[in-house]
Amino acid sequence: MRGAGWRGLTVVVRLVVREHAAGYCMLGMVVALGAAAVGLGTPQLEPGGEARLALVYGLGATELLVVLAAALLGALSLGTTLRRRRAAALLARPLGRAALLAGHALGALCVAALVALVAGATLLGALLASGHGRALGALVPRVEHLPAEVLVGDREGRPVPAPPAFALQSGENALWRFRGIPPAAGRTAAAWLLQVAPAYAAREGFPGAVEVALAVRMRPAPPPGDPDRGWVHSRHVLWCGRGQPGLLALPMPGAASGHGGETGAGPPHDIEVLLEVRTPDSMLAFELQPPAGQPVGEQGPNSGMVTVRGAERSPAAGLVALGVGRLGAGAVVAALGVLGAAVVREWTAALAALVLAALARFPELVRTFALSVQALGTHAHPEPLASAPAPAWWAVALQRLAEGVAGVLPELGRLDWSGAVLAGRPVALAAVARELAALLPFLGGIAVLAWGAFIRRDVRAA
Amino acid sequence: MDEGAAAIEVEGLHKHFRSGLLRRRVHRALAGVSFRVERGQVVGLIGPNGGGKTTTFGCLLGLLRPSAGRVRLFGECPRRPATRRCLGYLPETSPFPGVLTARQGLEFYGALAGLPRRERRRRAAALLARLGLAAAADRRLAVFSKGMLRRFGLAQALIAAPPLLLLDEPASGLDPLGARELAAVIAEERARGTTVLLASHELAALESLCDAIVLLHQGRVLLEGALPQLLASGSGVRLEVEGLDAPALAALRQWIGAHGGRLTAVEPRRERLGELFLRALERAGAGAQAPVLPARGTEHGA
Repeated sequence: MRGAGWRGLTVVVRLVVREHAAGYCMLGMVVALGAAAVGLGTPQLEPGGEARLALVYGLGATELLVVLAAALLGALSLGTTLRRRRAAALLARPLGRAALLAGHALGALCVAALVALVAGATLLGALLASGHGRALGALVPRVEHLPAEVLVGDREGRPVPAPPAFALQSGENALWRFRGIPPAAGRTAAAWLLQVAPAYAAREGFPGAVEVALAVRMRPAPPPGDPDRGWVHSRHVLWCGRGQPGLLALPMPGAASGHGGETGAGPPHDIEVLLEVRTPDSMLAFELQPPAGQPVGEQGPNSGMVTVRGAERSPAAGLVALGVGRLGAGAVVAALGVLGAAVVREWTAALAALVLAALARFPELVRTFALSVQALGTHAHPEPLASAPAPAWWAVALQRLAEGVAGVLPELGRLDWSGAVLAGRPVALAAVARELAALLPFLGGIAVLAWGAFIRRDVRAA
Repeated sequence: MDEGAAAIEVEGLHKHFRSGLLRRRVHRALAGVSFRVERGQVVGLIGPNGGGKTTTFGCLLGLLRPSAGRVRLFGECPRRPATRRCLGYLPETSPFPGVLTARQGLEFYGALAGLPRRERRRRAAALLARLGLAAAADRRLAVFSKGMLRRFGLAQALIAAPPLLLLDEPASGLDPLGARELAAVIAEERARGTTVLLASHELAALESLCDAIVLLHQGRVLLEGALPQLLASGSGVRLEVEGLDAPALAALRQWIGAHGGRLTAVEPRRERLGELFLRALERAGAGAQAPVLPARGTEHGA
């Protein structure tokens, strides 16, 4: 921060905070109270479930609010400064344009941090005031063990265990990936048989329903010489089981089977099978662990592979991780807002920042879009055809665009540790720092773009 | 800062703005403006609306990129933030942060100028008193009247005691008392050696304040020079006489005719409305008081 141009940076930050903090913090308080009221007012079977639900809603609302505040403030504060000619009075001082931009982005981020702080304090205060303080200490999942087994048909159609790859995800959805459905040799069609036998063991009752879905993701033949292209395009839920405690005996045996068709021209490739388990009612967070000695990302035995277990709480680290994660997301969005406002009208910029933030938060939406566009450009039928025509140019262009967007945007979802915190799982601050460091190139790129656009721009004096 | 350079040098300044969907429409705001303001001068920038005054100010402040030509403040390019350290600017509108009080606002602009905390507090207090805002020092700028905002604007331009002041319509919205104080402040600054460039439509006020004027019309300099030379009109003189009755006046007319002159106008002396206003206020003792604040909650677009 050397040179005259940067000296006023903190002054601009303080001004933005001073102008906007009160209103947004009030909004944060109202939203947190609303989320707490809805959560606490929804009867739950699990003891302390209301408090848990209030926390789930409250944390979700806080994340939304932080991103919203960062986007709106980043765009509107700079946009208003430019539109009301205030920028002329500021830039007539020894203040650099880059400092003006950075000041607005940092100011927006500071307000977002204050909003998160106020909303979090309000949420905890509401839980304590409503007599749920003790329940906060019991926010641990009850599921102890969740083994599952997926069988696929071999070339002779006999069921054999599919080797799973431990690309584990924690959170409200537990997801297993399987690869290795053997293709029918020399044919363009592959038949498969899938069987799943999930079993659940729960202690002290289970908080709500369990939903199990088995999906197949097929990979049509890739273009010649480019094995990484032309990926998956279809998803079939073959089986879905749902059990309510009291109605269903646990452990619950289950089975599903299905068969597939053609996989496209050329020899069929790996067919991926996804087994998804979630608890939609209670939004219980899973902690997934591969069997002892099984490293994540490698294939291993297909039995008893995942344990969902009760976890220990570490509120301090969890809260730090939550706060830092939300601020990381806020920083990206504030920067997006300021970049936009340096180029276009403030509301356009705010809207664009929000859309990009949503895409960055849920990149799977973009990827799904890319896949569906490819499917749309190829054929309308969900089943792949043996002689699939080449995708239309516009489908290819759209797909490339979507892939490009997904590739450029940082995955803000990786900064959300609320699932881990609710599960009471300790979050390593080193991991938090790593995720934040991964944002730096993106933030740097935005800063350079914004500066490049704004440095040449005329600022009207009157 | 180049010690030998003029305070302001503008050479062949062109500025055009593009508009329209394909940015094909071109509006030429300045078409080769050149002038020079020496250190310590007070110069008026005048001209009809759309003449290019505000655009010239924008280029002087580094807010607008000249399409062609050169602008220098004390020999330096104004687009460099360090150059603007020598600058105090009063914008035509008053876009000051309404959430700040007058005192906080002055400290804010002082901080932007890089003044140490103690110094900016001292200067803020002195300027608030000097411009009649001491009683309103702790009121938010959002509830200030237009005239008070102009006073505040002048104060923020002066907070860093800059050697160059750019004042855009400084008297706009000021009452006669404020206008008189503004004139006094400019005179003080001139005595201190400050260079002042002020754009205004108040030609009468400029006449008494300025050493020179630059008249802009349709983006060009129509007239430029020192006021005494520009306003000199041959050998005519203006006399103001009091206490003459009709016979004495007739005798004076005769005497003038006898000496080859011609009396062109005889009017009874009338007090000007501005003088009457100021005298009435002075009689009421309001000259030393702070301006009257509007009712609380009356927000202005600060």
